[in-house]
Amino acid sequence: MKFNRRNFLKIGAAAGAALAATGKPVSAMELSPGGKSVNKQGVERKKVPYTCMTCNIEDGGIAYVENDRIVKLEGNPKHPGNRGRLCAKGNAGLLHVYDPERVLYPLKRVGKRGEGKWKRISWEEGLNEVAGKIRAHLKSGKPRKEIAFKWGRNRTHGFIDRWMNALGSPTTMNHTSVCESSKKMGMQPTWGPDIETPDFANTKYIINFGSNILEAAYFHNPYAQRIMDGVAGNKAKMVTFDVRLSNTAAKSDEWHPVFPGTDGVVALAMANVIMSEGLYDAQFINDWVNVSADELKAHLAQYTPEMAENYSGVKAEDIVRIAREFATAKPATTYTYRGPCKHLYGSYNERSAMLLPIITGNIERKGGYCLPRGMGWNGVSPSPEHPHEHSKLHQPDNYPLAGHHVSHHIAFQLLKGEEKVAIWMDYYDNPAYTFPSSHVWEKVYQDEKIIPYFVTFSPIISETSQYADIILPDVSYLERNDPENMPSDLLPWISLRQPVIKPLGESMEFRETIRQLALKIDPDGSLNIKKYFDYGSSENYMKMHFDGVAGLKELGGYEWLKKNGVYPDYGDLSPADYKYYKGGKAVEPEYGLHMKEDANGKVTVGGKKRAGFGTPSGKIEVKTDFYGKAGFNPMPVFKAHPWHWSGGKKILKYGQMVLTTFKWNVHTQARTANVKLLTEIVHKNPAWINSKTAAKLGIKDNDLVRITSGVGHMVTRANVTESIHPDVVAVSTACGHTAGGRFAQAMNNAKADAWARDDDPDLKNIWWNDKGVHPNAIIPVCTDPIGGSQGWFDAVVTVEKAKSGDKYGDVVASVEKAVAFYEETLTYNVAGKNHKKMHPELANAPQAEPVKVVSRGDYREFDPVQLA
Amino acid sequence: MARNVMVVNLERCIGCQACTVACKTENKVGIGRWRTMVRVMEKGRYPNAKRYFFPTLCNQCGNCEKASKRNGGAMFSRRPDGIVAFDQAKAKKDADGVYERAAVEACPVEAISWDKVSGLPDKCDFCAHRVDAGLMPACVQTCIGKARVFGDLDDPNSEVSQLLAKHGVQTAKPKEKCPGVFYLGLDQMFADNLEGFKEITGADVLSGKVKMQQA
Ligand code: SF4
Ligand code: SF4
Ligand code: SF4
Repeated sequence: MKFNRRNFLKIGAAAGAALAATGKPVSAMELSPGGKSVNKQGVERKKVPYTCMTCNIEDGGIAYVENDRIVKLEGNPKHPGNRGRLCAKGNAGLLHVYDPERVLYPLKRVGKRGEGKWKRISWEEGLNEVAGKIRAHLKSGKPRKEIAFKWGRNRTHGFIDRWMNALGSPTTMNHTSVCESSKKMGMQPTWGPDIETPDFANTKYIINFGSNILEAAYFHNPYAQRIMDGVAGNKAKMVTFDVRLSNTAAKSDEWHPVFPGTDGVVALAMANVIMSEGLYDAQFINDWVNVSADELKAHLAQYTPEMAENYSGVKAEDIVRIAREFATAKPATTYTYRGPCKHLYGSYNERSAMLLPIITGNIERKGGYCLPRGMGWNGVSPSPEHPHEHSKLHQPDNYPLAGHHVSHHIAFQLLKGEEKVAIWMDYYDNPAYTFPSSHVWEKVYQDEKIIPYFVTFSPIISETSQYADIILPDVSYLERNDPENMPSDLLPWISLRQPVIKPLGESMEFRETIRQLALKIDPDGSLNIKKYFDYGSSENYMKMHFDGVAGLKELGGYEWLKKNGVYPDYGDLSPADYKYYKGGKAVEPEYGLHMKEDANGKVTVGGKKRAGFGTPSGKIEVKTDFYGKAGFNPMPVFKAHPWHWSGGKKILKYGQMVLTTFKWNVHTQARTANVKLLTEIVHKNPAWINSKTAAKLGIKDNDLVRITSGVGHMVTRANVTESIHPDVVAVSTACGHTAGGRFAQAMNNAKADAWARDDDPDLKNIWWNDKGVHPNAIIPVCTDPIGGSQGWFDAVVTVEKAKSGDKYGDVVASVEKAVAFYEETLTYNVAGKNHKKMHPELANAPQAEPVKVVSRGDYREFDPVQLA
Repeated sequence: MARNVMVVNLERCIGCQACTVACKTENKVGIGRWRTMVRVMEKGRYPNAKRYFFPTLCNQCGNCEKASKRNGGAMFSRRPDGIVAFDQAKAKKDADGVYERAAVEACPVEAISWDKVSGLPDKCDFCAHRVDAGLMPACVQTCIGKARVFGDLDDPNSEVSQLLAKHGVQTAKPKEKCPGVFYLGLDQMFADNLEGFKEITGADVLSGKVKMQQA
């Protein structure tokens, strides 16, 4: 279809005119928005509610089944998060079940590690081998912490901790530092929870610092719906600061391209404007903030709009204008998930952005920046204690505030021999693809001296699991059990993930595999493991979670949840306004949670004790002792990245840019690449380069370009565009797989591997041959010394036209150079030589008290007591 | 009698492609062809670059039906509720052995594609089987931005009627008198004439579509 103006003449006026004079918008016979599905013959299908897991948002779904095959997925209209709708990934989710490359029975390596030669074995053989190794280790008297477990996505809600605690090993390793950890560590000391739930649907103004919430992030689908309700429905204004014109920036009223890592100083300058012009909420600050308005004014005075312009490139007059608009357009909210925190000192950036809703009193009000609402379920007892041994892989030295650990350091720690590993378990994880300097992980996985025995539960032979010695394949998310909740709406909910069909082939749910392993490791209970896994079946385990939940119990407990998928039942969803109605009345969320009367409250407002916030003082702690005592600035501050700035001057040389990565709306980091319906929409990832920058460098659209970092280089194609900051080059991490399947790797009509199948006729219709080039190997480690997050968007690279001999897809990365960056980033931690240099303002501060770090199994909660 | 139409409110479309994928799973549409897809286009100079999302699908204009009938075919037929339905069992081969080539090429919005396996033409039929069961079409059901609205234009109280009454609406191919799909915000989107845009998703994905792969 050609697009030009001629093709798009108006005819609508005529169509509309005849209808204009009609009555009230009521009582039309509208079609149903879901809860039922028919096949082409009109026959109604069997339905099973489930909870989605194609990303980490946990929306509610209903699976429709015909002849034991899942034929369609739709959102569950009873789920207040996604309200009956699924995103592209969720709609395509059934293809994770029918992935032709999915491993459906246990495999044992027969060739060299990573060579790709496998032998089918029985479950009995596989379980006996793994249980035997673990039992032998436990019996040997060697340190239990040599049993290691690394996960990338853990929706088991405590089950992995149960397993590792029962084995007595503290070496549980997560993934949070490549994700949001510095956002959490910015927020938790400030107001308690690690996330916010903005009331987008009712807001009037949104400042979005670097979040691509309309495409990805927490909570993409629910929040995209609410933002469109706010922006299109409520005529809210949305202003986005981002280095790249994301779809979110594109739907915003204003897009301000910022220099990477400088949103924090923009936020501080806006806060300065709001304070100095008296646009703040004096009452709220007085009642609920642990510093006074005068202290805030004095602290913020250093962050002038001109200073922020110098760093960010956003005009001072725009900063002033937006600050005034934000402060006066009540209600208003910010959003940051998760841009500003993914830099060196990202935790400071997050705290700086939080200032805006705080000082304007937009906390916990309708249309404002609200606390997350949660609901829980019962724990399963008995429950093993967390081991007392300490593992540096779980929690490294000198990151006292990294309450969510520093997972991307682990490969380097192993290379340096900081800890020893005997048995490595790999679950829902792909660091050899998704972590910075991913090639270092490859090296570690390949080395049988570092990882003598490698078990994976992955049903996909990925860049990581290809190095396994044995595969005990887990099921897909539509064949497993989990309890779920997420604060994706102001109406709290809990939901169930349950098997929609029987697991395909011989694949076995992880919870069941672990139960069987535990019983084999400790058949007579003498090792004190058996009793924690004596729950019979995965389904029984679920019953133990849910049966006793008050309210749910009266409805029928677990059995009721199986039929409905989500609790509570908020009533009927109206497709007109997307509210739930019960007895003719719209169900509205509660606001002002901190103001609730509470006899145990620490804060008194209006003569009454109030619930307050989850901080030591019960107030919002703009000034936090947690930071102060650990040697960091207790106030929100800005630290210019020494790779980019020196004395306030940008130090990028000719051809140098900052490399940034991003997600597409149809992909997760690694798990969606073999989903044909998503990969046909996005399968390649050319480098976005600003047209002016490209012209200077003689690069034309689609040219081969070489991108060189301090670690190595990659050769890809240029997407010359108007949609990116001139100092930035952006490459999506969705593409460029070297493992994972024929759709992921654009291998049309290729022969199936021995464990794979040819049961999808589309394996002969793969019409694209460009699978993209993956950037993570050349991205150096750069760690926020506070929250421990990887600074994904900090790497300085040189972009030039490809050199002779360069081939599309080349990725060359040096392990030594990657290690040098790791060593460098350690110098920024509290014990490193750059820490003092980066904090001249603390020269006269009292000596930091030594901080005790306690190794902990629980990855979700930041427990101040442990760090105080 | 009902007159079923779709209204696409471009202000609310976020380009998420949930509709594209839902349509494929609902209607078992394989890769390399589409009943609907959201084209993504950019226009304007940095820092004033703009991006547009444009969901495309069969406009139910009936051109394919006419072209097929001229050729002696009977695959397409308009239902009383306005939907241009089709029956693959009645598809007829052209002289070159390709099913219904004339009908496919007569479509002004390139909405018909051949199934790569069977070679039979396929297109959006507003999910007639769902509509007949009282359900919204799959793409409307899942639309994250609530951009796609479907209903009966003969019912003045329906959401589509209300939207059309309130807003200036356009169609993708006005000359074809497309009766089935209306857009809100198209005038704004194309006020600046989109010739010279850069297409992010859509062009390469759609290009191979009408070229029939001979089995
Ligand atoms: S838009 Fe194309 S497919 Fe749809 S009725 Fe018209 S000609 Fe047929
Ligand atoms: S109405 Fe049905 S067939 Fe048409 S585009 Fe939407 S989902 Fe596809
Ligand atoms: S689902 Fe709706 S919002 Fe998303 S691309 Fe399709 S029409 Fe646009």
